[in-house]
Amino acid sequence: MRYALFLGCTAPVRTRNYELATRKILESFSLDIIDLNFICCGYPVEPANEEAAFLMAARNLALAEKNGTDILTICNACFGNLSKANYLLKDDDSLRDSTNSKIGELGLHFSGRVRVRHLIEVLRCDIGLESIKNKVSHPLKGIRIAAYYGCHYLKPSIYMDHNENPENPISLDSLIEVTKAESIPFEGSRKCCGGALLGIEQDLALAMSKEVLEGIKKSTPDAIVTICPFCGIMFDICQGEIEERYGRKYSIPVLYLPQMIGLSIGMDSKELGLQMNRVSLDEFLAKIGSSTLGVPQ
Amino acid sequence: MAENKRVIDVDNLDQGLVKELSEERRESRGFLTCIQCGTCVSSCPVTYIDPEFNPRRIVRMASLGMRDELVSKGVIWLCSTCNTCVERCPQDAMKGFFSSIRNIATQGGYLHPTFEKILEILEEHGRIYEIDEFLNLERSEMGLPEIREDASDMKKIFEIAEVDELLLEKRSREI
Repeated sequence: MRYALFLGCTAPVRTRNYELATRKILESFSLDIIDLNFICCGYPVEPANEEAAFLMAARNLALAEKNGTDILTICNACFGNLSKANYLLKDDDSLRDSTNSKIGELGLHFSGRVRVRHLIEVLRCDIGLESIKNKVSHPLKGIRIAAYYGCHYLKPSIYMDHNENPENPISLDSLIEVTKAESIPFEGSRKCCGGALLGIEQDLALAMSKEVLEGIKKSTPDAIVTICPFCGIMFDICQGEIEERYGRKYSIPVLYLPQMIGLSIGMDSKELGLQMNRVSLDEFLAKIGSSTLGVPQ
Repeated sequence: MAENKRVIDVDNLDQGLVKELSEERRESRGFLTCIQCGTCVSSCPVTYIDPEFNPRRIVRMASLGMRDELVSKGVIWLCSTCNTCVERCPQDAMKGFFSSIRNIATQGGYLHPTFEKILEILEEHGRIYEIDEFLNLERSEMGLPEIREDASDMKKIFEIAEVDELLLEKRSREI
């Protein structure tokens, strides 16, 4: 299967480390990836205009269909909005017809041939746990990882093209275990990071992230692993600010899933964009015995 | 705690709001089936931090038709869209609710400034972050491919969904 990489708006600008590690990982597993001329998935528009949000998603789905690919996204918000549109368009004939008459003006047509996949599912199901396991050359033994799934990869589950249980998901845990690290339980694992509120009510958003970080800290993790650029922004990029605001010290490194997998299969830190991770990874890398990051880029 | 007492002005209830949410909008059709059980509140990560945001109360207010109280105040914009209430609601009443009520507020002239900004950027760039030469240079130094902005489809979609008119209206009001 060929996939169109759907980066969304945030990852290619603010979390390029996530994008880079994704590309390197997919390349190393010889996945057939192309870049298409996608626009915003529509998620940020939904509160103001549901129709526009829906048409943006439909437009992107139809563009993938035109190119004969599935969609592979690395952002939970994109995954959520594209999955929802895909579900509704496949489910409702009259909605599909009326939508097609609108996106027809863009030279596009939706007939329902595209699947919307999240990187995590492509890694777990398409590439497969066995193939990854066979490539693990630098097992992350003794490393304690807090698996943070975020929200829109899981909920509302009715729209999602996966078999994940939204209250008790397993895919991230199983990918952590493949690297020989330990996925640790922590308080508040299903709580939202607040990322969607960062531009609306910053105080509230940061308080929500603080809540999650407190729960994670209690479980003495070596790192958080996440699958969403917004969660990454909140926990990695904003961690210092949260510490300052609340007079707390967390110092919990945050890795994106492909960065963790990359380390376990022996990729070097530059290939994985680790120099862009905000919370210091020095201690973490020393613990896994990887080359240190100390070299300035 | 007099300031916490909420008086419902029965002369100012608007059944039109109930109709809009339950009949005219595809996604929020189910909201009237709410049984006020509170699963949403006990699941809500926002309520946990700020009890002023109370989805059960907001749904009840909407079902009574309290349009003015809802659309003119900031509280409906505090939902973080985590969808936990949508997932857990035993009545399936929460699906699309916050998105619909925000759309109704927007149409009534209460477009939140954050979303106004987002719409303006999208209209021009097709993405919520502009891609400029400097960014592409940084990307190429990391070995990432160039991204070219193309907002032409975005503009057409905004015309079809009348987002362009929404923005024009907003601008004309501000002048």
